[in-house]
Amino acid sequence: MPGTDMDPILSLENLQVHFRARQGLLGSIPIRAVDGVSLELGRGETLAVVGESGSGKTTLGRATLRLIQATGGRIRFEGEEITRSPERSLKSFRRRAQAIFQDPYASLSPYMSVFQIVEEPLLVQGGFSAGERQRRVIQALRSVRLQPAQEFAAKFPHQLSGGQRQRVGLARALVLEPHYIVADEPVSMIDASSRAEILYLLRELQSARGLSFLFITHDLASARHFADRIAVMYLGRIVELAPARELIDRPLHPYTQALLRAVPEPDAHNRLRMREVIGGEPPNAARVPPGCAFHPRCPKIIEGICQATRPELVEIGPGHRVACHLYPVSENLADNAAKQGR
Amino acid sequence: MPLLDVRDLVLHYATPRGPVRAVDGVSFGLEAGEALGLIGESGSGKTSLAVALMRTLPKNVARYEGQIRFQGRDLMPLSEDALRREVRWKGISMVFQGAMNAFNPVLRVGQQVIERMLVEGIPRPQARRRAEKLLQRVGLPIEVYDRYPHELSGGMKQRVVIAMALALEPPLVILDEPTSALDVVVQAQIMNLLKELRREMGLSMLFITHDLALASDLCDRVAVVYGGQIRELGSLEGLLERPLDPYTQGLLASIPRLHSDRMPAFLPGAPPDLVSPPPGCRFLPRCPKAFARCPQPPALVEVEPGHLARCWLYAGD
Amino acid sequence: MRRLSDVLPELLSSAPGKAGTVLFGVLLLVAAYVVLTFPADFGPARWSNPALWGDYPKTAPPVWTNLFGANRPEHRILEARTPTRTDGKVKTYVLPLDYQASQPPTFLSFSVGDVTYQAHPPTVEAVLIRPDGGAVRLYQTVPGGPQPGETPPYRRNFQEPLRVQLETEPTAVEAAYNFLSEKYDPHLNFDEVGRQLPLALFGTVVDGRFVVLKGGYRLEAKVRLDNPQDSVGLVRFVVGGAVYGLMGTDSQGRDLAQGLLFGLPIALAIGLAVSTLSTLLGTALGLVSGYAGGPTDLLIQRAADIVNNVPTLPLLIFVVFVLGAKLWLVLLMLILFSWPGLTILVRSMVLSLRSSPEVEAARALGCSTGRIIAYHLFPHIAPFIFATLIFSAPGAILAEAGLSFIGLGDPTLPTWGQILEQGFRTGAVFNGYWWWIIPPGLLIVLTALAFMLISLGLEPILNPRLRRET
Repeated sequence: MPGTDMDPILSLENLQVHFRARQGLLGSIPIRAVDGVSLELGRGETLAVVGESGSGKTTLGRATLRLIQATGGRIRFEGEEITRSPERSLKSFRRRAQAIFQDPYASLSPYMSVFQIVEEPLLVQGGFSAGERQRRVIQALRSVRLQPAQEFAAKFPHQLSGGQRQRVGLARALVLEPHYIVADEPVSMIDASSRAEILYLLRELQSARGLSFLFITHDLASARHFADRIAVMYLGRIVELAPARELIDRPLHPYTQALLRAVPEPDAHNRLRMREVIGGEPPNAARVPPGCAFHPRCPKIIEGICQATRPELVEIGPGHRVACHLYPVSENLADNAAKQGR
Repeated sequence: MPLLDVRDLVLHYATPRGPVRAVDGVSFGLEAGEALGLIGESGSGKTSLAVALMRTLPKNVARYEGQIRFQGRDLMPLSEDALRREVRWKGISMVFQGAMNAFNPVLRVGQQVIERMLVEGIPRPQARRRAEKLLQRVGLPIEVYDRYPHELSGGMKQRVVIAMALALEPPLVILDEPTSALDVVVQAQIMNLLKELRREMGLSMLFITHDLALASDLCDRVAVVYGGQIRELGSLEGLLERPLDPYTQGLLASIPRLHSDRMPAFLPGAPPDLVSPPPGCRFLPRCPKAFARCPQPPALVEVEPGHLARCWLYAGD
Repeated sequence: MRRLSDVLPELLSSAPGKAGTVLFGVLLLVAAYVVLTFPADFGPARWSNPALWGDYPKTAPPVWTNLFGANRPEHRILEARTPTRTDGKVKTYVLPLDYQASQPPTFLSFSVGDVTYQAHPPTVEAVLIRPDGGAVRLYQTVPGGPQPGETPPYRRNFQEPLRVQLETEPTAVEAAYNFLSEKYDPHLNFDEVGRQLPLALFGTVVDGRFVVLKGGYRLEAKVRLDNPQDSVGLVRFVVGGAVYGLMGTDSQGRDLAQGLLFGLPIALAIGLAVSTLSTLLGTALGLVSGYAGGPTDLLIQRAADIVNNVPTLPLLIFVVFVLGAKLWLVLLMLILFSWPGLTILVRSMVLSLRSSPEVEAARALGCSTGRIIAYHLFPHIAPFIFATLIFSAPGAILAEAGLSFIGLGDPTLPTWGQILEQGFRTGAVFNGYWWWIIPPGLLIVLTALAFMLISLGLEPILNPRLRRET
């Protein structure tokens, strides 16, 4: 497993993305999409960020690409702080950090040929001759196995299947030879029987080029197989972060446990057996409960503590961090509890 | 006698490129109280199959034929009017894909639930009492009756949609991707609800989904649809444990497992173009086990008792 | 998804689209013919030059109206540039006229032009040879003599021919009286002949009344030249008809067919120019407003609100009053006040596209705002813009016609609206001059219809609900 401690490609310190959403005619309410996330992404590592819609996982990915401006905290990329750099000084960052989007239908211009789509990053970055661009585009298409590349280059997105489109999106992300890619639900809109093909391709490219991935997904099973580590997000915060198998096999946070229990598996024994499932309203970033954000739905709530104090993300095993009051009470918490009491 | 018996159902759409064979000779039966899963990927024709069963046809139909027997009565000769009055909602109701986003935003939820009851001539106060009971039955508080759709979460809206489908107490409900666009926890809640409804009301269900794992949560039998045809039909246990068809096997292997180190597999290539599908077996271009007979179209044959497959590997001689 | 190149097949696949395209094609061909054959200064130099139209009948209906009613005389312009006979110094220009109408000509005029002489001006004599053998001397004249300081050869009447109205010419009255009283009726009243000269010239007397004499006439101009080098280059007789041309004439004698033809390219140019420019303006502002957001958006939207609520007509009247009725000015005003609707629409489309995955992907690549607008926003709205362009063209044509009709037209350029306006002003409606009123109105409708039919064919692009399954 690639090292995660030494020389991270990306490190986030207490990253916050808050919006104001309009409500009613004049009022507005704060939305804490990302609310204090700290994590490090190692070179060559794939970190899966898992959560329900509204957990802030997509906003987190976008903030690391500077597509959304962080409102607090710091983003360091390859040793350089980029949190508040103006857009014009981000050119080199834009070359090294790329994105793959969820919807392979909507994220490619229907009016551009595959060649034009993959060529666009080279044009935007500038400094590539026509011959060089041609060579790189064909090479990128080959690397995502759109073969014969020349033939695919002349096609338009509507002539391709979902999986092929997603590979065009991948070729576009790869053509500048980036170091870091945010893959936002890259396979959720692709047919089940073709999903693994894209995921294998991502993994293969990663090991060949030493790419780092932020793999944003709602699919825990895919995350287990294709990520090195998994971070579970709930209402803008990471509630648990651990090596992939460790997290799936020994989930500590009650929310992670609930998520895992809800995942359907092709097993005839499940039929007609009721699933143990948490109730309550799904998370809403406009109404973050005080204390532990999960406490209104938590089956293991500790009365008096969970409502009052927000648990910190603490390491309780090798590389396994969890933000929950159920796990060894740190001195921090004791202090906080004491303060609350006063 | 099965509750629903479908024979050689065909539904082709006319397009400038030629007819799209969305449903191309589908036969199956559904017993009372049973849940049958229809599994298919995008473009397999599974939603068109529901359209063909409910006869909610678009304008560009090129060919629509076959036999649909419901409670022993052939629905095909029925007039549109008779079908609407006597079968839809009363006999077979349907939860459409994305129905939870199709509410009228300016009408209260309850108003939309009782609409079909009022058409039936049920007086308003009675309809309201029934609707409230239904809302409770699907796990919603009575207050939801007077709410507007935008005040409800996705999961609540989906529950309302299910309550609407149950409004006239039909024996059969067709559910088309009832949990798509819902998060996994809410999905599990809805699946629990469907299980309860089956158990307590003896509902029969036709469960259409792209997710074999999800179908295994609910269905007694499963049909795998590919290229407008059923490729395999059998009991859930039989299909999951001894999948016969190479496509079913591939589909099953492509599901990533939470608690196993076996990596998910994939099927290369893309599903067939239903305007010009392969002349023989429609899975042939992607099949890892194709052999000399496959360019001929295979028939759906019973390989084991109650377990049918459309594959030359099991055709005998 | 739909690209701009799909628009034409889409258009031709619907009946109204097909009809509109054919009609528009015909109009374009005619307009091209007009642009190629008419002089550029047709308006000021010909249409609005009364001297040119003197030889034309006033408010004459089209020739083809003879098919439905009275056999009214046709307007004939008989012209000769070289003599037919030469007898020594006398050169004769013979112009045969077959007269079959049952009414006399409305007038008779004679013109001489392009006269060149060395010493003495030629004498010119106009004679009417009747089918009954009579020769009536109509007129005699001598072009102006040399001026002091002028050197030979002397040139006369090159710019403007010497022109006389013969029906009031005493020579002609006397000659006609002499001939008719001698041949038909010795008791003929001289004053009667003077009052009805054209009828007297082209008729006989039966029971004291004039009757038209049908048959072959000859109009002759006899020119006596002093010197062999002298010449007369133009001789013209105009037999005034009661019907004229394909479309008739107006009260100044102007050939309406020419005015209507010339109005076509102008109408198309107005429609296309105004719709193109206002669509471009509206689209550009909408794109910027929608994508830039913030203060720019606010500024453009408030400007749109203001412009949308300015009463355009009073403002137009005011501007024309102050700066004069110029076509470009009217068009500029139309353009400046027609963008807000489209801007608001384009802005709303851009707002939904702005958050699309495609634009998000482009931003992630570091695309500039200009590139995003040009490559990732504009192509999506281009078919809509194209349809809007066609859709707004008839509005511009109608607006110009309407403004001309209330007197705000550019007098130097004959547009259909102006022809209509002049017709109304001179009482064409009350006098029943339908050929002056109906054709320009119909042409405006027809041109607008061509655009409307095309937009009807483009409807599926504008309205996604009407799209057919593909």
